[in-house]
Amino acid sequence: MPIQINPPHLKAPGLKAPGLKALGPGSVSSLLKIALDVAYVLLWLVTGGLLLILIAALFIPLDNLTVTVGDERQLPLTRSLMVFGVGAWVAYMGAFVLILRNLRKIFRTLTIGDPFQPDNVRRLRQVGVILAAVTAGVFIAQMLMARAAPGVLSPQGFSDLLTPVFSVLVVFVLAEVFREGARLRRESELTI
Amino acid sequence: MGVILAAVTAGVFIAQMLMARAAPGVLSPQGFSDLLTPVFSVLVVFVLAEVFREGARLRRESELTI
Repeated sequence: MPIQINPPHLKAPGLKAPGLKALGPGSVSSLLKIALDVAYVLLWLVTGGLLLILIAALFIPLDNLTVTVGDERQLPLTRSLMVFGVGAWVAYMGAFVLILRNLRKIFRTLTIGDPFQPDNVRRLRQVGVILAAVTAGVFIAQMLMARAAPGVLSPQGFSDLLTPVFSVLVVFVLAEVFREGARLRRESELTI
Repeated sequence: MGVILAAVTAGVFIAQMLMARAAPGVLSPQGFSDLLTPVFSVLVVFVLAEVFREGARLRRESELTI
């Protein structure tokens, strides 16, 4: 009968396999922060460009201009349509600039290895509120556009709202988790 | 969860590349730019796991404190 010898499992509380560092300087979070910084600058540039177009749309003459929609239909480009369209994009991009601003600050705390700073709770809640406002704004804007130009754009169904609403709720839950972490951190700091 | 997400991302990338080679013109392979969002999500999940680990450590410390 063969004798099977299992190798012993070596375990020690202080021992840890070298792996990818997720928090602290030179970690995954600092890599993500760089990505967020790049996205933030790019988004600022896009938002600035759109803002210039919005200002120009208020003054340039739009006579005899048309806009082509999906099925080759030509619609007259009115000033109100132009301002509404570009303004909606400015608001959309501006909201994401604000979200990225908060995320960069959160990732800065992760980069220094201190995730449970009390300010992160406020930042995450702000992200949740902005995301909820964007979701509601897109839903209402798309509904208004669908009414203004029937057949061109279809309104969002409630099923399309599932993913964004879920994301908003996840952000609020994360904010609560960070609040609990901040409380434990404060307790730990007070303990001698 | 991060590992599963990474495996799914890699799996979809490889499967789409193989399908694009097997039936050229029918399906286009995923570009590296298409990988940005899933890779970012995977990294965020790993960072969140580490944040939760730190939270668990603080909780354990707090439970041990009299």
